[in-house]
Amino acid sequence: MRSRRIPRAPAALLACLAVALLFPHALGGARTTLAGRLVPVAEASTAADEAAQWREAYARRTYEVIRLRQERDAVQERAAVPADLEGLRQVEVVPSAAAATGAVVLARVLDRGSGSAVRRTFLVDAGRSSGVVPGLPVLQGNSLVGIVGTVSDGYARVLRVDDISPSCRFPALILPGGREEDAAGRDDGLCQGTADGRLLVSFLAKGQAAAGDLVVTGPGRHPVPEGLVLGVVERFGDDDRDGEWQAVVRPLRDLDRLSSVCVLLTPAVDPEVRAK
Amino acid sequence: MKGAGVLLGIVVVVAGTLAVPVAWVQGGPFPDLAVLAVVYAACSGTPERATAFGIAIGFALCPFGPEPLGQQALLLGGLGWLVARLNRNLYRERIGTQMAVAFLAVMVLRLASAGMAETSLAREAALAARSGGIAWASERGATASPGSLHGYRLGSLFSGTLAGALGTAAAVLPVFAILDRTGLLGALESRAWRRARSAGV
Repeated sequence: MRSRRIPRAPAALLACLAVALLFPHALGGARTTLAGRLVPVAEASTAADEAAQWREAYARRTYEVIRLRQERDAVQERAAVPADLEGLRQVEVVPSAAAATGAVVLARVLDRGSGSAVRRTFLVDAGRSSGVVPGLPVLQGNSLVGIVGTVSDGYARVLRVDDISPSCRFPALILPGGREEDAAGRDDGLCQGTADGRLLVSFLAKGQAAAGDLVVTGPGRHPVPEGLVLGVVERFGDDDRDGEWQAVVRPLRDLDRLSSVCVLLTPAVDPEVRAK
Repeated sequence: MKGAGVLLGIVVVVAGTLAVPVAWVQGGPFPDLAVLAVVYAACSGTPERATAFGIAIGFALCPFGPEPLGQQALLLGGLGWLVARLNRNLYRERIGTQMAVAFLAVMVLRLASAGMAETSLAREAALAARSGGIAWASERGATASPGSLHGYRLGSLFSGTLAGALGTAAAVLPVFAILDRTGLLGALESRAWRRARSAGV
């Protein structure tokens, strides 16, 4: 009987397809670690420049941490509630409490995810050993720039706010003219990434926003604190004329040129308290 | 020794891809180096070699993106296999054919990547919802009319892909000339390609 030879190329492609479909998150941590270790090697020629930039960035970050703490104090003042709701207040100000304990990890951006055809991510040199876990918000100054995706011991891959991942959907508030007090009583929208460097805020009504308005995170998206800047409205309209208006938002920070960021840690909350 | 050239080629492709800003790669007319290398390997070599080369580049790029393990390997390996299989029906030595193949390859590959990303995003959404983080957004998104977001995203995806495909097609002439002169991917070349090249076709 003549033996039939299995074609090797299609078999190898089928194996790749099986791995991609059956184990989509396989070796996530290992891949992140590998990328973290390879990128500094690739950038070794610019080590001196990088060191100078890093010193400068460190100084800037120090000021940013101070500013974050000032913002935390302001949020805590606003969050003052009657004593009988003290337990509830503790739950609601968890992000501020994280900042209060100084639970902010400074991290350097290593690679900016150019290896992907459609996704927007970057790699940072802070991982599980620093307390970083998936889902934590990543900030630069008072701007939200991403959400932690995959984590290994020493590195983490961050999904940028303009990535199309469902993890990067946030409740958003439009602040007309950038004045926070005008936001009282306003409805919120849903902010999602578009993978082209912009964000799209949907579920808005006619006249609810205008070009130049500031967009910040709204309540209800644990553990992302309320009030972090998402960007500035670039265009506002109802292109498909279905009565639902959308705002195209440009992030304040240049997400392609981030050099260092802060990861906002969340302290463990007693499940019973959270359930209340 | 020739294997070292192929390895060097993979390193150059990965380093070149990572060295440029993501906005250039995804939205600008920057050539897709991985596609260029795989199309060259497919035009000059056998389906097996082109597939193996594509899979190797895909796995080398794998740590630098959030896509599922093996997705890029599948797409680039599939591209190498398909183009090499079609070689007998193509005038592969003609620069116009090579440019057209590179253009189509980028278009198909990026759109396939976007389609596969949508599939894996559904799983990401389930994971994120399980952690409770995006319950609000999921509930809101379920009642959304998806046309506007999808329309915006498709528009930007098509314009970015078109720019990348044009950039890649324009880069075929210099990149293929460099690869021909240096013989970097010589280990992948078939005898027919070598004969055609030495005959000056």
